[in-house]
Parts: sequence; C-alpha cells; structure tokens
Amino acid sequence: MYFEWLNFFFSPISNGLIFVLLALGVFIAFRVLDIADLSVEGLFPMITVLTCYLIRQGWNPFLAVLLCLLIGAFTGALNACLSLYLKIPPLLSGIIMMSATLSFALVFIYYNGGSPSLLGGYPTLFNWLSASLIGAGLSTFWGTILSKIIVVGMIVALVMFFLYFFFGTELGLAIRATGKNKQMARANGLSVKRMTIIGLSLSSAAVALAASLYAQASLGGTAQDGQGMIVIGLSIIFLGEAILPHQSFKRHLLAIFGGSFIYWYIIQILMKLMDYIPGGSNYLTLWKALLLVLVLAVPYLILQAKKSRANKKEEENDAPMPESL
Amino acid sequence: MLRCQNLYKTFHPDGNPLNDKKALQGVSLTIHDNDFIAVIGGNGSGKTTLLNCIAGVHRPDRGSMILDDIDLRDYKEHERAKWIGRVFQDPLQGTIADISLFENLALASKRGEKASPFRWALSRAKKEEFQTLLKPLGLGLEDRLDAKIGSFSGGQRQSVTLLMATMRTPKLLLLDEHTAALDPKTAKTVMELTIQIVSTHHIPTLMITHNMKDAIAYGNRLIMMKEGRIVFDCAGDEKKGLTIETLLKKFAEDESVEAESIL
Repeated sequence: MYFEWLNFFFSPISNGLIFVLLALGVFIAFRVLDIADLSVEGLFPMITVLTCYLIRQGWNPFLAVLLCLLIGAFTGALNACLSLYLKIPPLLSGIIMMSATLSFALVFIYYNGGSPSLLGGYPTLFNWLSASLIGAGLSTFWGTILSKIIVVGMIVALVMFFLYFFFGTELGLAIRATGKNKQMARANGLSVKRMTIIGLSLSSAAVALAASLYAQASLGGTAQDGQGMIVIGLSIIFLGEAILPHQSFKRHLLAIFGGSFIYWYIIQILMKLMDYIPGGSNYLTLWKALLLVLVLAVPYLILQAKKSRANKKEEENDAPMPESL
Repeated sequence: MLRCQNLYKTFHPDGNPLNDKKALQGVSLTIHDNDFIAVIGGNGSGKTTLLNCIAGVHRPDRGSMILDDIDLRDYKEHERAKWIGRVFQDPLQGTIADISLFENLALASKRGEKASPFRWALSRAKKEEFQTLLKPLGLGLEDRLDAKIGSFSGGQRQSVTLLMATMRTPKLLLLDEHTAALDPKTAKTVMELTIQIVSTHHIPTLMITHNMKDAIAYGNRLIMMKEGRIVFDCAGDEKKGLTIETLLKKFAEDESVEAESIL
C-alpha cells in the first residue's frame, strides 16, 4: 500500500519531465511555426522501438539517444521538404510522415523478434546512476525513480536552456518571425523554406529525444506508443497557457514545463479512479480527449464571462433609456 | 536606377483561357535615382502586379528588370529584400504583432544578411541605436521597445514598417497604398514621414495610391495605369500643374478612346 502511494506520487514526475520534451517539440511546430505536425504519432513509436533495437544490439544508450535525435531531425526536415518543395499541405505531409515512420516501427519490431521490444536487463541511460544510488544504500524503488528524475531532469534543463538561447539568436528570431508572418519574413529577406526546415527539424528532434527517453524509462517500446501523443502535447501546451497567459518566449517554456507535470498528475488521478470501474482503463484516451476539450474551453469561457460582465457594467453605466416606444 | 522593359504577366486562375487575366501587357518603366513616383489607376489596372513583379512575389512572363547592375529575375523574393524595401497596405502585414517592437526592428536591421545562430538578436547597442531612430518619429515609441507591436495603432505600425523598410537604405522602396487603411489625419502624418525618410536617404520610390490628391501633392512624377499598360506618365513642372479634374479627364478620355476602338 505504501509503495503504491509512493508510486502514485512519484511516477508522474519522470513522465512529466519526459513529456516536457515532447510538448516542446509540438510547441515548436504548432505555436512557433504554426504547423499542425501530425508526424509525431508515427515518429514517437518509431524512435521508442528503434531505441530498444539499438540498445539490444549492444549500442551505448547515450549514442543510441544521439542517433535517435539525428533521425528525428532528419524526419522533420523531410516532412518540411514534402510541403515546401512538393507543395503538399503541411497537415497531409505530417500524416504521410506518420504513416511512413509507423512502418519503420514495425520493421524494427520485426528485427527485435516481435512485439513488444523489451529492454529489461539491458543497459539504459539510468542504469549506471540507479546502480550507484542503490550501492550507496538506497532501496531499489528510490534508486530507480531518483535516477530517472535526475538524468531526465538534467536533459530537460539542457534542452530548455538551449531552446531559450537558440530562439534568442538572430536565426531563432528569424524562425519565430517566419512562423508568425511569412509575408513580413520575405520582405525582410528571410527564406521561409530555410526557416521552416530548421524549425521542423528542431521540433522532431525534441520529439525523438522524448521518445528515446520514454523507451528507456519504461523499458520497452511498441508500435502503439505514439497513440494520442498529439493530444498529450497539445494538452500540455494549453494547460500551460491557461496557467501563464500573455507570454514572452521564456514564459512559454516555463508554462510547458509546469503544464506537463499538472497534466500527468491529472492523468494519474484519473487512472486511480479508473481502478474502481471494471475495464475503466479502456476509457483513458476518452478522458484525455475530454481533458483537452476542457483545457481549450475553460479559458475561452472565462474570457467570454469576463466580456459579458464588462458589457453589463457598461450598459448599467450608460443608464439604459426607459422603453419609450 | 530600376529599368523595367516590356513586362508581361498573365494570371490563369482556373486554367480556362477565357478567364485568363492579363495583368501586365508590356510595361516599360525607368525609375531614376531621384524619382518619387506616384502610381494611380483603377482596380485591376495592374499597379499591384507591377509592384509584386518587381518585389519578386510574381514572376513576369516576359520582360526584364534591372536594378542598377542587378538582374532581378535571378533572385527570389526574399533575396531581393536586400535591395528593395516594402510597405504594405495592411498594417498587420508589415510587422509581427506577437513579438516586441525591439525584435521587429532587430529583424529589419539584418535585412538581406544571413541570420546567424551564433549572434544574439537583441543587444544593448542595438537598443540604443533603435531608440535614436525612433525618437524623430515623435510617437514616443522609443520608450516602448519591449511592448508587443499588436498593442500599437495602425498608424504606429505603418510608421514602424516604414522605418524597418528603410533602416538599411534600400536601392528602391515600394509602397503599396501604405496609407489607405489609416484615418485621414494619421495617413497625412505617415505620408509626411515617408517624404522625410525618402528625401533624407535619397531612396528611389514607387508608391501606389488611390488618393489622387496624394498622387498630385507628393512625389516628382506620376504614372497612370490602365488594363496592364502605362497610359500617362508625367514629371516635373507638368506634374506640378496637374489637378484632380485633369486626372479624371485623363481617366475618362482614355475610356472613350477605347470605346471608339471597340466600335
């Protein structure tokens, strides 16, 4: 019972951290570049399964993550090129990339000898730390959980610093500008193609990083890992924006960071509640969808309520004329 | 100096030749270094198409465009931005609402250069530079560098766009009805700012306008376009002597010629 509750409180932390990276990737595509990139749903499982494959082949986990990062960036660039050079609408090019990458996920599963691709007993990014933590006298439970939180936490901090500084450089500003106003970008000498390719590569690299860490944290990968990833990413972004509205770029990053934890605690609570309903966990994606609706609708409804209240006040101030007709 | 020769441009909206729109039908125009040209003409006369061909938005079907020694046809729209500054009709188009005035200006200050991932977009030196640029506008914007442009009025945005387009002195400035969306008073202020900037930096300028009074009052040369051709071009003293009536007559006169030719 004790461990169950500990798990209840601590497992959302490592998930929360990993999904900060996913949400950052979705954020770059969706908010910075203004592209709804659906390739995430295929890229994510491809990378989780690929990570398992590489590590099972004896790759160093660190190198495996690096390769996944590069493959993610390449996928993003390819996705951008499909829409920029072949004039495929971005929404469709994302779906095409999703379908293609999903196929690669199945290929890697085949090479792993069938699904699911398990990492139990193989070295991961967290092994060395958890081993030394346990060696220092911590229990297995704490060793495992703390090692995940520390390693992923450091990577997330690194990525967030990198993004914060990158989007403050001339190139970063140019990418942000391109996403907001293409005509202005061109009139100021920015190549929309170059900026979109760089931006989508960054976005997909972040998603790939999240997927690779996810596989190592959950010790496995399946072709179903990508399901609902867009919904999760968007929910985190909107949750963050609901908490920290009117944002500068720095606040955007912080909002995503906070949003991710809140999201996973909400999911954790929902899953706990589901335990009391037979077959309850089957409703999980429904709850996730409802959550996204809620996050989107509530700020809007609050705004409307504020507006109508302001209008009412104005009407009162205007002292409505008695009905003379 | 920009030398356009025999520009042709036809749009094919749906592939049906009957619906082809002949936007430019042999436009030749030389813009001299001291020219401030006002372009007038009805809707569909090809004014905006001419501007867009020069800016690189459209590729002309035929004809040449040489800016100083540069063959513009060899360069894409964003590459031409190095030499050509632009201000649009819609105040929302020339600037980015969601980022600060400082960031907008920083982008423009790098116009035509490759954006580097190794240099900060914003710096203290730039802030001071921009403040000295903004002060003469008299809009108090030098104190609002960190405000998002979305909070600015249309006139402020157009003034900023104008500043951005001329920050790195371009070889040519294209103004596409840049005061049309503003109220008369603001339009006048922006117009005067335009003249001030253009004359201090000696920028050759092509300005589309729907306002005949502006077309007569501002600039040293006036061009009237009609059905993809330049039908009237006057400069200097002849232009100074123009009145709205004579311009209107020109419009009408041309119509009757056409009517006769059809009959």
